[in-house]
Amino acid sequence: QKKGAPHDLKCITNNLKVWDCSWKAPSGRDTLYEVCIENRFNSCYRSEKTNTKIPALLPGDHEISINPIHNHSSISKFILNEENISLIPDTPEILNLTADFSTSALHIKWNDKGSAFPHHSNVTWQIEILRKKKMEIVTLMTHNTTLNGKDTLHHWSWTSDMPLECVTHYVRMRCYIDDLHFSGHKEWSDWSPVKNISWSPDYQPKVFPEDKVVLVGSDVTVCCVIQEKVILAQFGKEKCSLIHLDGENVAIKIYNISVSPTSGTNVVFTTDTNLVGTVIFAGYPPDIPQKLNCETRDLKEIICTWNPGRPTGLLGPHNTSYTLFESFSGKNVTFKRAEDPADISYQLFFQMIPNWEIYNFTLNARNPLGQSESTILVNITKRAVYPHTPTSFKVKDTNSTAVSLSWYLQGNFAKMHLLCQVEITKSNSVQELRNVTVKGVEDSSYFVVVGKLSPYTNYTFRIRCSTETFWKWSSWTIEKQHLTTEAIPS
Amino acid sequence: LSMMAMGGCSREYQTLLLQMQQQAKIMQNTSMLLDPYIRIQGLDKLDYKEHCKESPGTFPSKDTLQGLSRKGFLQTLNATLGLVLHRLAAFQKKVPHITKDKDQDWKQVSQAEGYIRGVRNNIFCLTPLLNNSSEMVTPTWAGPRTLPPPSLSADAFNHKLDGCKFLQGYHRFMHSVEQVLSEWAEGPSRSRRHSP
Repeated sequence: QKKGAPHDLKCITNNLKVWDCSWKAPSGRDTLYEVCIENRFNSCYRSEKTNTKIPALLPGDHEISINPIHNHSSISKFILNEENISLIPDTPEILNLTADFSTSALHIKWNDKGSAFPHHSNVTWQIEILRKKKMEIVTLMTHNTTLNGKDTLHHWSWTSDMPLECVTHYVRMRCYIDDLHFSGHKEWSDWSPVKNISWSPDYQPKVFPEDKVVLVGSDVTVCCVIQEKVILAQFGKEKCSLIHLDGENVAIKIYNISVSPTSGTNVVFTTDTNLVGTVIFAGYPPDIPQKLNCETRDLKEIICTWNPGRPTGLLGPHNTSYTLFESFSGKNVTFKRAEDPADISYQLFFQMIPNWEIYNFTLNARNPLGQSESTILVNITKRAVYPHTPTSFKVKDTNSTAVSLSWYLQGNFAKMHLLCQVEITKSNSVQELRNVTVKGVEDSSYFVVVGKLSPYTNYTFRIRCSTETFWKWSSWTIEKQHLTTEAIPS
Repeated sequence: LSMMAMGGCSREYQTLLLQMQQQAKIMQNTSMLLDPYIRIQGLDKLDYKEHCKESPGTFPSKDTLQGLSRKGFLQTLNATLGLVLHRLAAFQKKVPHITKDKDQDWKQVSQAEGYIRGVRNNIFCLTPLLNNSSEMVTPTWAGPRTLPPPSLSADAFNHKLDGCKFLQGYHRFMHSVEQVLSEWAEGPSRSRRHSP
């Protein structure tokens, strides 16, 4: 190039459709330039500045002339090739930054302006989180998407280890477009303008998170929003080193937290005049309910029992809640633990559905740290009847070698036969078991005659019952002593 | 006489009075309830004392108690201890019996509950021995009809501190009760504004 002619032509593109070219020229002279693309269209563009936009050119070499209109002698010619062009995407813009303080989550929304691009391209977004007025980098994360020719809104969330209330968080982002058709240089966009989130303190000292439930073994950051100098921070009985935030706000980091006592573990910040604290409840998610068993005592109500498995370490409002769900009927029953703390048995009662035999139960256990479940399929009449203990057991004479036994059994056994077992103990402790089958009835007394006894002999009787399709014996009745009558002399 | 015995009433005024005095003397001791509470709540690891002072107005002051008639005093004592029992019940509710049966501090809390029931039982026995009226009349202490609700603060830590302040007040209250009862024991003429 002749002296004083335009030089150092450099072109970039933000969207692969338009090239933004700029050059150097002695300042203050020749404010009008004519840029011409030497091709069959010979298109020219005039500009009063030392830059102009031209449509993106096809791959290959293209001759470009820049002619300072008022001085023909200093025309400059350049060879432009896509390979020398830099793709620098437009600076992205964070449309919306919101915070969920309860979960310490930041949510951002942005538009990828995909409509500006001629074809699908892979995009990498870098999202940077910074903290404190000094804007210390907390983390830099990448998120990959694809431009699809349309403007697409993207959402992205990040959970802070530090409660958002205690320190201002800043977010910015930039992007890198990896367009496979483009042979030029690809560079990162500029960083977007920073957006920030902060909590508006009410000047009451406060500790965050408040009453958090965490998994044993996790790391927890607890922080204190306060106006006066914190001189001591304690987690339980351990003294912790302070992490200084903005102003007098401080934080501590607890690593690999161990299970809390029943009342939780106190985290306390002490100043000369004040004591501010919170409680952390470190525990476990509910174990899979073990030995889930469902049976009925009376064919009216099903009782499901289970073993909760490993203790969660969480009590009161964080206790495990259980829900028994029956999938065929869609019904469910919820287990309320606190009603009677003395009652430590885990059981739920489910009203049987008339004429319904097969039940598909799912027991769901849930606490703030997670949930688990167990299932059991039960044919309630076949393998689940565990009758109540027979009551009102009586023995009456029938004759010298036979007695009649009667007992009452609560339950709706009308549709089945009962198998009962009579234990007969003779005075000289000879014991005999006899099985008898009786037609089931609902909430009724039953009678049976036991013969082949010895006259004028002391016997002890007791009875227990099950269903014909055996599952469990009931408990034995109380024993009844009985002296058979004397035989009538023949 | 067991401090926590419930059941038939002694007809002996002085015996009952002496027993209540002894009960109050024991119950004013923070080792009975406040100290185990502090350990249970993990406050023992902190310099909590400065932040665990009785909140004025929660329990009747000694002057207030001294200004009551004997019947008014017993009614106030009975009502106040009733609310303490309610607070203790709320405190113990979430903890399974397995834990309470094994933990010494929880046992201590249960024992303190027994003492409170014992005093209320003695109030029940002593009241008829004051002249005329035997049925219970609403307390004449003009303080809050009910003690502050179990949970002043929503968050767990301040809730623990609230309990600490409450029990600090309770032990002070029992100290005042013991002092008033000892004045009774010295005879009606000697105690200031007292008229049975």
